[in-house]
Amino acid sequence: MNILLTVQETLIFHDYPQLFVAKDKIGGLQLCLAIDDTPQYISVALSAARLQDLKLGKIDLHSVFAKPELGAWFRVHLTDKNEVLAEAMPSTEKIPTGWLPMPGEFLPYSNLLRSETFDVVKVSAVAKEAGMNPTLLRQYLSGVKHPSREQALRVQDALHRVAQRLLDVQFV
Amino acid sequence: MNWYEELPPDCPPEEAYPPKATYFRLGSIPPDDSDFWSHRRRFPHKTFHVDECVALSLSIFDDQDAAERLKRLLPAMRLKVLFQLELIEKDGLIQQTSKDIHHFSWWRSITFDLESIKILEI
Repeated sequence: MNILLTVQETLIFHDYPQLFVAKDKIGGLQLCLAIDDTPQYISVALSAARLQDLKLGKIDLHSVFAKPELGAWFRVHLTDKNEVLAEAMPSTEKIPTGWLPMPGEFLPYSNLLRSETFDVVKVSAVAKEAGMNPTLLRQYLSGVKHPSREQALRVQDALHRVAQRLLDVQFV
Repeated sequence: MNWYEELPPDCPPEEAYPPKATYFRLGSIPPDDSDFWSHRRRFPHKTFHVDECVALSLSIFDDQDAAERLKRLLPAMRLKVLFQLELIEKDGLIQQTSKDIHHFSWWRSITFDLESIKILEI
């Protein structure tokens, strides 16, 4: 079975995307990993919750690929559009250990809060929504301090709530 | 500046700046010029869905631990070795890119000297 996926987000880049998230037509997520430097890719389906755990450093990358939630692996083929094709590997086929990340290794620390995101919203409004000191949020944005993943998630959730309230506005 | 690879207009971006520090890059043994080719040059027919300017850059790190961690994490990088680079202004321009705060894109100039790299044992 082949599944057409749209590339959503590159999680690790080194000369080319090494690890990226792609989405199928009904919103299912696949995590795609380069397994050699030619490069060839494999992928596994994963839930939004597991992806969040990976991003938050609660689960290592090895676990995601060694024990896929659906127990299946896919070979991923690049296309010339913003899409990739995932081809299910035979259920009898085990992936070589050389294709797996080393156990106990987590995603690199990310610059979680991008200051350009706040060009269109007031920092103080988002900080208030997050229940956070605005000075602290400004320090995160300027790079003076680095937020934990939990803190970044708190800001992200607050930003989404503010955005939702804006979407709910109707003038006419 | 004379670039090693042909770059599109507005590339490197105006935020890019000259390097003047120690950086690290994953490459092969023995190192050769192709270890310092962009992915666009290495894989001209593959589409990776990244900005074309970044596709014409090289990945480097400002932190040795970050580069070593990536070597352990990524199967595609496991057989690579770590190069230490002392980059100076004439070597090109750099800019922090991607989610990893230690990752930089480096647009290589023609004056970068391959003989200047140091191979680290890890």
